[in-house]
Amino acid sequence: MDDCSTDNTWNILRNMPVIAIRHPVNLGQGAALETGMEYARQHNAEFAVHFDADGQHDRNDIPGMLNILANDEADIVIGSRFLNPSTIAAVPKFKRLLLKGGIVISGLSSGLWLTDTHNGFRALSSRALHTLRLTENGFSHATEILSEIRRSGLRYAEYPTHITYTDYSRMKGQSSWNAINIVVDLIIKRVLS
Amino acid sequence: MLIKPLLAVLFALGVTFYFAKLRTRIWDRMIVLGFAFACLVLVARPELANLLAHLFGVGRGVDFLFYLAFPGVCFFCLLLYTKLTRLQGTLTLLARDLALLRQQIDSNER
Repeated sequence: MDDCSTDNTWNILRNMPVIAIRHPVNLGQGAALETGMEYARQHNAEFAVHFDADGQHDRNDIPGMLNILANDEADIVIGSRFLNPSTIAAVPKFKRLLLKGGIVISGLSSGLWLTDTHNGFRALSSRALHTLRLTENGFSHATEILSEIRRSGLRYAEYPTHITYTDYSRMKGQSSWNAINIVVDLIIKRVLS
Repeated sequence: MLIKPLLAVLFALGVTFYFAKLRTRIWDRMIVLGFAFACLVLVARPELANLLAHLFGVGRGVDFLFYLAFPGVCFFCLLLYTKLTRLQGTLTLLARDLALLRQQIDSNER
Protein backbone atom coordinates (compact mmCIF):
# COMPACT_ATOMS: atom_id res chain seq x y z
CA MET A 1 0.00 0.00 0.00
CA ASP A 2 1.34 3.36 -1.06
CA ASP A 3 -0.44 6.21 0.72
CA CYS A 4 0.40 8.69 -2.03
CA SER A 5 4.09 8.87 -1.21
CA THR A 6 5.96 11.83 -2.63
CA ASP A 7 9.34 10.17 -3.11
CA ASN A 8 10.26 7.44 -5.60
CA THR A 9 8.46 4.67 -3.68
CA TRP A 10 5.70 4.13 -6.23
CA ASN A 11 8.04 3.84 -9.21
CA ILE A 12 10.06 1.21 -7.36
CA LEU A 13 7.01 -0.60 -6.00
CA ARG A 14 5.11 -0.98 -9.26
CA ASN A 15 8.07 -2.69 -10.88
CA MET A 16 8.32 -5.30 -8.14
CA PRO A 17 6.54 -8.68 -8.32
CA VAL A 18 3.91 -7.61 -5.78
CA ILE A 19 0.37 -6.31 -5.92
CA ALA A 20 0.81 -2.59 -5.42
CA ILE A 21 -2.03 -0.19 -4.66
CA ARG A 22 -1.64 3.57 -4.44
CA HIS A 23 -3.98 6.14 -2.91
CA PRO A 24 -4.57 9.16 -5.17
CA VAL A 25 -4.29 11.43 -2.10
CA ASN A 26 -2.59 10.97 1.26
CA LEU A 27 -5.17 9.67 3.74
CA GLY A 28 -3.25 8.19 6.65
CA GLN A 29 -2.11 4.81 7.90
CA GLY A 30 -5.55 3.64 9.01
CA ALA A 31 -7.01 4.38 5.59
CA ALA A 32 -4.12 2.61 3.87
CA LEU A 33 -4.65 -0.50 6.00
CA GLU A 34 -8.38 -0.51 5.27
CA THR A 35 -7.75 -0.21 1.51
CA GLY A 36 -5.34 -3.14 1.66
CA MET A 37 -7.87 -5.11 3.72
CA GLU A 38 -10.61 -4.30 1.21
CA TYR A 39 -8.43 -5.68 -1.58
CA ALA A 40 -7.81 -8.81 0.50
CA ARG A 41 -11.56 -9.22 1.10
CA GLN A 42 -12.37 -8.83 -2.59
CA HIS A 43 -9.83 -11.54 -3.41
CA ASN A 44 -10.94 -13.96 -0.67
CA ALA A 45 -7.69 -13.84 1.23
CA GLU A 46 -7.33 -16.51 3.90
CA PHE A 47 -5.06 -14.31 6.03
CA ALA A 48 -3.92 -10.70 6.05
CA VAL A 49 -0.87 -9.21 7.73
CA HIS A 50 -0.41 -5.58 8.77
CA PHE A 51 3.29 -4.78 8.38
CA ASP A 52 4.80 -1.31 8.73
CA ALA A 53 6.88 -0.05 5.82
CA ASP A 54 9.50 1.78 7.88
CA GLY A 55 11.64 -1.31 8.43
CA GLN A 56 10.87 -1.73 12.15
CA HIS A 57 9.21 -5.10 11.86
CA ASP A 58 10.88 -8.45 11.25
CA ARG A 59 9.33 -10.58 8.49
CA ASN A 60 10.61 -13.71 10.27
CA ASP A 61 7.87 -13.17 12.87
CA ILE A 62 5.13 -13.67 10.27
CA PRO A 63 5.12 -17.51 10.17
CA GLY A 64 4.72 -17.73 13.94
CA MET A 65 1.77 -15.34 13.86
CA LEU A 66 0.11 -17.13 10.95
CA ASN A 67 0.60 -20.45 12.72
CA ILE A 68 -1.66 -19.28 15.54
CA LEU A 69 -4.35 -18.37 13.02
CA ALA A 70 -3.92 -21.61 11.06
CA ASN A 71 -4.43 -23.60 14.28
CA ASP A 72 -7.60 -21.60 14.87
CA GLU A 73 -6.32 -20.42 18.25
CA ALA A 74 -7.31 -16.82 17.53
CA ASP A 75 -8.92 -14.60 14.88
CA ILE A 76 -6.33 -11.85 15.19
CA VAL A 77 -2.75 -11.92 16.41
CA ILE A 78 -1.23 -8.67 17.64
CA GLY A 79 2.50 -8.22 17.87
CA SER A 80 3.99 -7.05 21.16
CA ARG A 81 7.34 -5.43 21.75
CA PHE A 82 6.94 -5.95 25.48
CA LEU A 83 6.67 -9.73 25.32
CA ASN A 84 10.13 -9.93 23.79
CA PRO A 85 12.84 -9.15 26.39
CA SER A 86 15.45 -8.50 23.70
CA THR A 87 13.22 -5.86 22.08
CA ILE A 88 12.17 -3.95 25.21
CA ALA A 89 15.60 -2.44 25.64
CA ALA A 90 15.59 -1.28 22.01
CA VAL A 91 12.50 0.88 22.57
CA PRO A 92 13.60 4.40 23.56
CA LYS A 93 12.75 5.24 27.18
CA PHE A 94 10.42 8.13 26.42
CA LYS A 95 8.57 6.07 23.81
CA ARG A 96 8.32 3.20 26.30
CA LEU A 97 6.67 5.53 28.79
CA LEU A 98 4.26 6.87 26.17
CA LEU A 99 3.39 3.36 25.03
CA LYS A 100 2.66 2.36 28.61
CA GLY A 101 0.35 5.35 28.88
CA GLY A 102 -1.24 4.30 25.61
CA ILE A 103 -1.88 0.85 27.05
CA VAL A 104 -3.84 2.41 29.92
CA ILE A 105 -5.83 4.74 27.68
CA SER A 106 -6.57 2.01 25.15
CA GLY A 107 -7.51 -0.36 27.95
CA LEU A 108 -9.96 2.12 29.46
CA SER A 109 -11.33 3.02 26.06
CA SER A 110 -11.65 -0.41 24.47
CA GLY A 111 -11.80 -2.71 27.47
CA LEU A 112 -8.87 -4.75 26.13
CA TRP A 113 -5.71 -4.83 28.23
CA LEU A 114 -2.78 -5.78 26.02
CA THR A 115 0.92 -5.44 26.57
CA ASP A 116 1.42 -3.36 23.39
CA THR A 117 -1.59 -1.52 21.99
CA HIS A 118 0.10 0.52 19.27
CA ASN A 119 2.05 -2.14 17.46
CA GLY A 120 1.33 -2.06 13.74
CA PHE A 121 2.27 -5.70 13.29
CA ARG A 122 -0.89 -7.83 13.16
CA ALA A 123 -2.13 -10.97 11.48
CA LEU A 124 -5.80 -11.43 10.69
CA SER A 125 -7.86 -14.46 9.80
CA SER A 126 -10.55 -14.27 7.15
CA ARG A 127 -13.15 -13.83 9.90
CA ALA A 128 -11.28 -10.87 11.38
CA LEU A 129 -10.73 -9.43 7.91
CA HIS A 130 -14.45 -9.40 7.22
CA THR A 131 -15.37 -8.18 10.69
CA LEU A 132 -12.97 -5.26 11.08
CA ARG A 133 -13.84 -2.15 9.11
CA LEU A 134 -11.52 0.75 9.91
CA THR A 135 -13.00 4.26 9.80
CA GLU A 136 -10.14 6.09 11.53
CA ASN A 137 -7.74 7.28 8.83
CA GLY A 138 -4.90 8.28 11.10
CA PHE A 139 -3.01 6.53 13.87
CA SER A 140 -6.14 6.28 16.04
CA HIS A 141 -6.98 3.17 14.01
CA ALA A 142 -4.94 1.13 16.48
CA THR A 143 -7.39 1.97 19.26
CA GLU A 144 -10.30 1.49 16.88
CA ILE A 145 -9.10 -2.04 16.09
CA LEU A 146 -9.10 -2.90 19.78
CA SER A 147 -12.61 -1.50 20.26
CA GLU A 148 -13.84 -3.48 17.29
CA ILE A 149 -12.24 -6.68 18.62
CA ARG A 150 -14.08 -6.17 21.90
CA ARG A 151 -17.37 -5.25 20.26
CA SER A 152 -17.41 -8.13 17.79
CA GLY A 153 -16.03 -10.78 20.14
CA LEU A 154 -13.05 -11.67 17.95
CA ARG A 155 -10.56 -14.01 19.61
CA TYR A 156 -7.19 -12.35 19.96
CA ALA A 157 -3.70 -13.36 20.93
CA GLU A 158 -0.44 -11.52 21.42
CA TYR A 159 2.84 -12.58 19.87
CA PRO A 160 6.37 -11.45 20.82
CA THR A 161 7.75 -9.53 17.87
CA HIS A 162 11.17 -8.11 17.12
CA ILE A 163 11.60 -4.40 16.49
CA THR A 164 14.59 -2.69 14.94
CA TYR A 165 14.89 1.07 15.29
CA THR A 166 17.08 2.70 12.69
CA ASP A 167 17.60 6.34 11.80
CA TYR A 168 15.30 5.76 8.83
CA SER A 169 12.54 4.14 10.89
CA ARG A 170 12.75 6.90 13.49
CA MET A 171 12.43 9.47 10.72
CA LYS A 172 9.48 7.70 9.06
CA GLY A 173 7.69 6.50 12.18
CA GLN A 174 5.10 8.53 13.99
CA SER A 175 6.29 11.17 16.38
CA SER A 176 5.81 10.42 20.08
CA TRP A 177 3.88 13.66 20.34
CA ASN A 178 1.27 12.19 18.01
CA ALA A 179 -0.03 10.46 21.13
CA ILE A 180 -1.71 13.75 22.01
CA ASN A 181 -3.54 13.75 18.66
CA ILE A 182 -4.67 10.18 19.25
CA VAL A 183 -6.08 10.99 22.70
CA VAL A 184 -7.85 14.12 21.44
CA ASP A 185 -9.36 12.20 18.50
CA LEU A 186 -10.53 9.52 20.91
CA ILE A 187 -12.23 12.00 23.25
CA ILE A 188 -13.91 13.95 20.45
CA LYS A 189 -15.15 10.79 18.78
CA ARG A 190 -16.57 9.57 22.09
CA VAL A 191 -18.39 12.84 22.74
CA LEU A 192 -19.73 13.32 19.23
CA SER A 193 -20.62 9.72 18.30
CA MET B 1 -20.18 34.98 39.85
CA LEU B 2 -22.90 32.50 39.03
CA ILE B 3 -22.85 32.77 35.26
CA LYS B 4 -19.51 31.11 34.50
CA PRO B 5 -19.81 27.74 36.25
CA LEU B 6 -23.47 27.57 35.35
CA LEU B 7 -22.86 28.12 31.64
CA ALA B 8 -19.88 25.77 31.58
CA VAL B 9 -21.76 22.89 33.18
CA LEU B 10 -24.94 23.47 31.19
CA PHE B 11 -23.06 23.73 27.94
CA ALA B 12 -21.01 20.58 28.50
CA LEU B 13 -24.01 18.51 29.56
CA GLY B 14 -26.22 19.93 26.89
CA VAL B 15 -23.78 19.37 24.06
CA THR B 16 -23.01 15.80 25.11
CA PHE B 17 -26.67 14.88 25.46
CA TYR B 18 -27.63 16.65 22.25
CA PHE B 19 -24.98 14.98 20.09
CA ALA B 20 -25.64 11.61 21.69
CA LYS B 21 -29.44 11.54 21.55
CA LEU B 22 -31.26 14.48 20.07
CA ARG B 23 -29.35 15.81 17.15
CA THR B 24 -31.14 16.55 13.89
CA ARG B 25 -30.27 18.89 11.06
CA ILE B 26 -33.20 21.16 11.84
CA TRP B 27 -32.29 21.45 15.48
CA ASP B 28 -28.66 22.19 14.51
CA ARG B 29 -29.83 25.16 12.47
CA MET B 30 -32.36 26.33 15.02
CA ILE B 31 -29.78 26.34 17.80
CA VAL B 32 -27.25 28.31 15.78
CA LEU B 33 -29.92 30.74 14.59
CA GLY B 34 -31.27 30.99 18.13
CA PHE B 35 -27.88 32.01 19.51
CA ALA B 36 -27.35 34.46 16.64
CA PHE B 37 -30.80 36.00 17.08
CA ALA B 38 -30.35 36.35 20.86
CA CYS B 39 -27.03 38.11 20.32
CA LEU B 40 -28.52 40.41 17.70
CA VAL B 41 -31.36 41.36 20.06
CA LEU B 42 -28.94 42.11 22.89
CA VAL B 43 -26.78 44.25 20.60
CA ALA B 44 -29.88 46.17 19.46
CA ARG B 45 -31.21 46.48 23.05
CA PRO B 46 -28.25 47.15 25.34
CA GLU B 47 -30.56 47.94 28.26
CA LEU B 48 -31.96 44.40 28.00
CA ALA B 49 -28.42 43.06 27.95
CA ASN B 50 -27.60 45.00 31.11
CA LEU B 51 -30.76 43.77 32.82
CA LEU B 52 -29.99 40.14 32.03
CA ALA B 53 -26.36 40.66 32.99
CA HIS B 54 -27.31 41.83 36.48
CA LEU B 55 -29.78 38.99 36.80
CA PHE B 56 -27.00 36.47 36.21
CA GLY B 57 -24.46 38.27 38.32
CA VAL B 58 -22.45 39.61 35.41
CA GLY B 59 -21.12 43.18 35.59
CA ARG B 60 -21.96 44.53 32.16
CA GLY B 61 -24.31 43.77 29.31
CA VAL B 62 -21.45 43.42 26.86
CA ASP B 63 -19.85 40.77 29.08
CA PHE B 64 -23.14 38.89 29.19
CA LEU B 65 -23.30 39.07 25.41
CA PHE B 66 -19.84 37.52 25.20
CA TYR B 67 -20.78 34.74 27.63
CA LEU B 68 -23.82 34.00 25.50
CA ALA B 69 -22.01 34.18 22.15
CA PHE B 70 -19.08 32.00 23.16
CA PRO B 71 -21.05 28.75 23.64
CA GLY B 72 -22.86 29.49 20.39
CA VAL B 73 -19.59 29.81 18.51
CA CYS B 74 -18.25 26.63 20.16
CA PHE B 75 -21.39 24.77 19.17
CA PHE B 76 -21.03 25.99 15.59
CA CYS B 77 -17.39 24.83 15.56
CA LEU B 78 -18.49 21.37 16.72
CA LEU B 79 -21.03 21.23 13.91
CA LEU B 80 -18.36 22.17 11.40
CA TYR B 81 -16.06 19.51 12.85
CA THR B 82 -18.67 16.78 12.44
CA LYS B 83 -19.34 17.92 8.89
CA LEU B 84 -15.62 17.87 8.10
CA THR B 85 -15.34 14.38 9.57
CA ARG B 86 -18.21 13.21 7.36
CA LEU B 87 -16.61 14.80 4.30
CA GLN B 88 -13.30 13.16 5.11
CA GLY B 89 -15.07 9.80 5.30
CA THR B 90 -16.65 10.37 1.89
CA LEU B 91 -13.32 11.43 0.39
CA THR B 92 -11.69 8.32 1.81
CA LEU B 93 -14.29 6.03 0.24
CA LEU B 94 -13.86 7.72 -3.15
CA ALA B 95 -10.06 7.59 -2.98
CA ARG B 96 -10.20 3.93 -1.98
CA ASP B 97 -12.48 3.00 -4.85
CA LEU B 98 -10.24 4.86 -7.27
CA ALA B 99 -7.08 3.21 -5.93
CA LEU B 100 -8.57 -0.28 -6.21
CA LEU B 101 -9.96 0.45 -9.67
CA ARG B 102 -6.58 1.66 -10.90
CA GLN B 103 -4.91 -1.44 -9.50
CA GLN B 104 -7.42 -3.61 -11.34
CA ILE B 105 -6.77 -1.75 -14.61
CA ASP B 106 -2.99 -2.04 -14.14
CA SER B 107 -3.36 -5.72 -13.39
CA ASN B 108 -5.49 -6.30 -16.52
CA GLU B 109 -3.02 -4.40 -18.69
CA ARG B 110 -0.20 -6.63 -17.53
